[in-house]
Amino acid sequence: MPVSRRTFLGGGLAAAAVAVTGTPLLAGCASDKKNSAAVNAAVKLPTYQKYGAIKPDLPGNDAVLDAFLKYPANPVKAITDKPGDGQPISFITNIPGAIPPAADNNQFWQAVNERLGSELQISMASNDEYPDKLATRIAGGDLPDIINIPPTTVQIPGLLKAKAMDLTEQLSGDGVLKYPFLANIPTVYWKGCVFNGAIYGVPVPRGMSRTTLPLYRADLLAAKGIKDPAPKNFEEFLALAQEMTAAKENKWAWTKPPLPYIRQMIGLPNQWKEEGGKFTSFYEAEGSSEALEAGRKMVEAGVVNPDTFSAKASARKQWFNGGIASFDIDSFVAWNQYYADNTAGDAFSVNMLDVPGFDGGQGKPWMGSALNNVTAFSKDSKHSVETLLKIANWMAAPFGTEEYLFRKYGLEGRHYTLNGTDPTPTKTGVVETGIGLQYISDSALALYWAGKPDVPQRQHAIQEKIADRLVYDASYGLYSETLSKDGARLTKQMTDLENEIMSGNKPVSDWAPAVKNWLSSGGEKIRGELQQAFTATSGK
Amino acid sequence: MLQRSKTRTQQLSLGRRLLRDRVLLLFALPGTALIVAFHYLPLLGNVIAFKDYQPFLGIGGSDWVGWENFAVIFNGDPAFLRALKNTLILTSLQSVFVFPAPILLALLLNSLFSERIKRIAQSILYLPHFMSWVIVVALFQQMLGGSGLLNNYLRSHDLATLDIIGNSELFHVLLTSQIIWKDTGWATILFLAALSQIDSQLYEATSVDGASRMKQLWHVTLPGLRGIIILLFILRLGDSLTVGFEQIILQQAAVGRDISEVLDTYVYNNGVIAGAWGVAAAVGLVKGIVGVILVLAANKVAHIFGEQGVYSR
Amino acid sequence: MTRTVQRRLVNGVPMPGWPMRIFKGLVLLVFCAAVIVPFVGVISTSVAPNKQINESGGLVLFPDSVNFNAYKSLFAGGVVTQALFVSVFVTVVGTLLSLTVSCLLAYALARPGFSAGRPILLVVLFSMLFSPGIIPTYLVVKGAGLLDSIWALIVPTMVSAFNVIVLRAFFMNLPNEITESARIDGAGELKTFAYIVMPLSKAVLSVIGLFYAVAYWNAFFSALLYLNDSKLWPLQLVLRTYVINDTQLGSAELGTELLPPQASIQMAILVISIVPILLVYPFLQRHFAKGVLTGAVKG
Repeated sequence: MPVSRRTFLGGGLAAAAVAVTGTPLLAGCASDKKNSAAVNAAVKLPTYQKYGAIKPDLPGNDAVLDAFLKYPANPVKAITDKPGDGQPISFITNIPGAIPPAADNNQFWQAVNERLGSELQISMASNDEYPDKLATRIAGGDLPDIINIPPTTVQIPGLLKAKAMDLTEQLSGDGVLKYPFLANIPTVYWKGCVFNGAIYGVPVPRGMSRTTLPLYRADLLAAKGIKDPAPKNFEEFLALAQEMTAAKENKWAWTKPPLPYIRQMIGLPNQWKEEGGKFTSFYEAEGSSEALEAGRKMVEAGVVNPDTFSAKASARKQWFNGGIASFDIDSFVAWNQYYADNTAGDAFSVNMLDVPGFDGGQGKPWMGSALNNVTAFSKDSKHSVETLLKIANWMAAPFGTEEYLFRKYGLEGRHYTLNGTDPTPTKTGVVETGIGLQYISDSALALYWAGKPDVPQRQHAIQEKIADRLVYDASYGLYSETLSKDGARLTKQMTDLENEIMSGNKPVSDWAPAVKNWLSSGGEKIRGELQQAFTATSGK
Repeated sequence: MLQRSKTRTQQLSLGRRLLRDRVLLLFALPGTALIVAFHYLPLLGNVIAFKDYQPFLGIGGSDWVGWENFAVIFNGDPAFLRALKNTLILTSLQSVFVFPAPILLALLLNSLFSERIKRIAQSILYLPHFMSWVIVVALFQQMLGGSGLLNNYLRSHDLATLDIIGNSELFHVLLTSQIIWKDTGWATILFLAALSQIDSQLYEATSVDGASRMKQLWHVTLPGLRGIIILLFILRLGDSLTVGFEQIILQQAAVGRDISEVLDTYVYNNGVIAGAWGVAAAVGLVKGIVGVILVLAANKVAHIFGEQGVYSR
Repeated sequence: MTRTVQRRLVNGVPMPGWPMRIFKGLVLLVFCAAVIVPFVGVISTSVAPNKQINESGGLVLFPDSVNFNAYKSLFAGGVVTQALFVSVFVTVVGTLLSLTVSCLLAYALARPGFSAGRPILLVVLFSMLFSPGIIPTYLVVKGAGLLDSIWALIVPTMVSAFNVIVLRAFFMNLPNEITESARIDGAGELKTFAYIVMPLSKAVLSVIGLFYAVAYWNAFFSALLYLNDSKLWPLQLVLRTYVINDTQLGSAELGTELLPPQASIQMAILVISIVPILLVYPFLQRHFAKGVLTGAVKG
């Protein structure tokens, strides 16, 4: 195995030793620490330094995203050096769309390789099948250089310790400033990249863009004389849904019962709430039965499409797009997607509801989950850690830069045409650009829709409205082994029951015993682990 | 002839016999080698049934956990018993309704006199086999669901709607009908092939004797199919605990676990989803052993009735 | 037709009476309609205008107008075309190899008195009942050096135990006197196999060939696990990403109003993946729709 001079001279000595011997030599270094909350809290997170060269039209803050009404004219080229080292770099990822043409047939991919200065070899799988693909690659011991690790992966700390590079030395504190666009990622997102007392990855931040509230077809509501709906409580909310339902014409207001929204109305925790060191899950919190009862009531009232529990997600999107449904509950990302899929013409218009209290007053909106995934670098990689971080840095160049424009939209002429300063994708652009670059690293998203400035305006407005009431998931950044190992199973059990209760298959009274069972078969343990992790870190 | 070769076989030593059969051994070699290499060799990996397997630790590096992975099926959990019950119900339904369907259809097609109609019908009926379950389930919902074509039509004409999809009382029937719809036409071709093997002189001979159609069916057609029917039934028995995973998991949310949980979805919901590879391997082993027992027993029964079964005595 | 005491015979089988014929016709009609109606929906949806599809909630039976946008966008970029070539190669080469290997094995197992017959048969049979996990299989495929090679789509699944056992049953069902007389004439195993057994087994060969071909054609999981370069991916895996991912072709951040809805794409996918089989089927159907033994036994 060739060890380049550069690897030895660079800071990647540990990595080189791993590459040569196959095992880490440096016992007692950071990567040998246990994954306890205390050591994790001791890690100095990367310094946040906002990239100031780009001024948003509607500035955001900690929670609210920056909004742009137009793509900035003459986007700055922010990175001058090619980040790659000339050698091919491999990457494994899920991709959310269709398979793009392979590199030799894909001019976007070729252009990326050219700009990176390294050939990017991407191994892809669809969202559903990615866990199997990743597991076999891990088991086969042939992991690529860059690995997309979804948060649902089982036992992430052990996996990272065994297979991934420790990035603490490079990224901790001011170290990250060498990679200005990684430094442009707010500190909170890095919290999710710390395991075993070390920084083990680069975040792909989401947060606010994943915040999920009712989206409604403003055009359809307006046709019924409803403008800027703002139900003041659940009763009004239900009445609004009833008004938008006409079963005889095969129209139902909702694509699915908006249980998370009802929970936000009631003020239930966003997954977990912490109060004085005590954690409470939204399953057990007071009012969780009422939320289900309200969801059941909506289904019973016939304001939800009767096929809601059997249809695929794509069918639900179609109902909303086709006007069969006028309400859907989804995120800001989905809001944009609806514009992309729109077949209703120019009148098509989407907006989002604020959260009222269940019985009046104000509800408590939930902040979206922080990370899409953590990106780790394989210990066995022949590339220096600097090279890989420079690649990640390149992928995180924010909205408004020339790099961002290229990364998301491709080459002008082939992949998009400029409309003023706004890039409008071509068919080729849509087909060729979906190669999964956004999962190597990404900047925080910006609110923007080419050619429709009213979309980011509305998105920004609703974000400002809910920002100071946002409820955060108290378990974020705290590791619970039980949650990591068994969380998916426990959650699915509860989700299935929620559906059964709302569809009327089971009585609401089944909920309380199920919660008890959930607590005894893992929930209580998760709580304990989270509380322990919390106390260990809160002192720091 | 058979008799003679048998007596000769007994006289020769194993080595001589293998030497004599070298051509046949050569015939059997590539196929057997492939099965051993890509089936039995990886089966060794099923030791993870006794481990807390984590891909990043490797098979050797994962901890032994004894029989812990088997607990998921042997702990008497009511959820498991429920899954077992549904599996047995579904497997019975499939044996009674799904298994004979292609035989009946093949007989029906075979009894048609117009070659053209026979071929056209057959060419239409085998089509659904090529749809994945995702599509089949979506199509059923779009045709028969609460907001599907049928009910939309009924509703807009002020008629009562039919609650078919997502109706837990009808779920087992729905599953069974879906399989029949999807695979009957396709499965027919094997029986048609068997029917084509029957010597048409036999039909002519019996008709000279003045046999009715029923008699011909009974004395010529069915005996000609009997071997393959029994063979397929025995192989089906070996698979009794598998009643369709993807089809069910796709529709589980609509009807709930009480009625839809089967062994494979149970393992998925309680093991696979939590990355418990060991559990999946453990259940796979148990299912395999049950399959072996069922196949061996069924084969015995077939022998008692003087049938060939899968392999002879 | 006048009813006489002696009914008309066709191929030695008496014609049934009218009530029976009507009953059969009805049964077939209902069955066929249950298949045709959804298929009309599939084809219509793949060519219907976007607006109509979305407003209908997914399935369209009678399109207002016809367009081929779904097909065009699937074939744009050349991914589907490339995958089609891979699939055709894998299916054709794989089926030929599979049939050869399986027939040889089944023939050996069907020969009475083959000394190793029983143990090998049990090896084949039990392999059906235990399925190895995906990770150990991956390790074996890796060990065999098949990763990232198109042969990874063929070699590991080349022999299906079920097909071997069915083939063997059909071979054993051949009248004994035919093979024995060949042997008496001095034909060796290879000759008997190639010139006597194979020609007499056209029906089951077309059926098993079809089974193998369809299995190769539909396989996607091995490609997903063993091939990292999507250039080698077969059609079904490429198409599956459209169906499974449940999203539009484009990404949410890009805006585009160019693409047909998901339902239309899915139905077009279904049509694309069925057409090749539809083309091959009639040629194979000939062989199992009609008997082949009549002449052979006479001779």
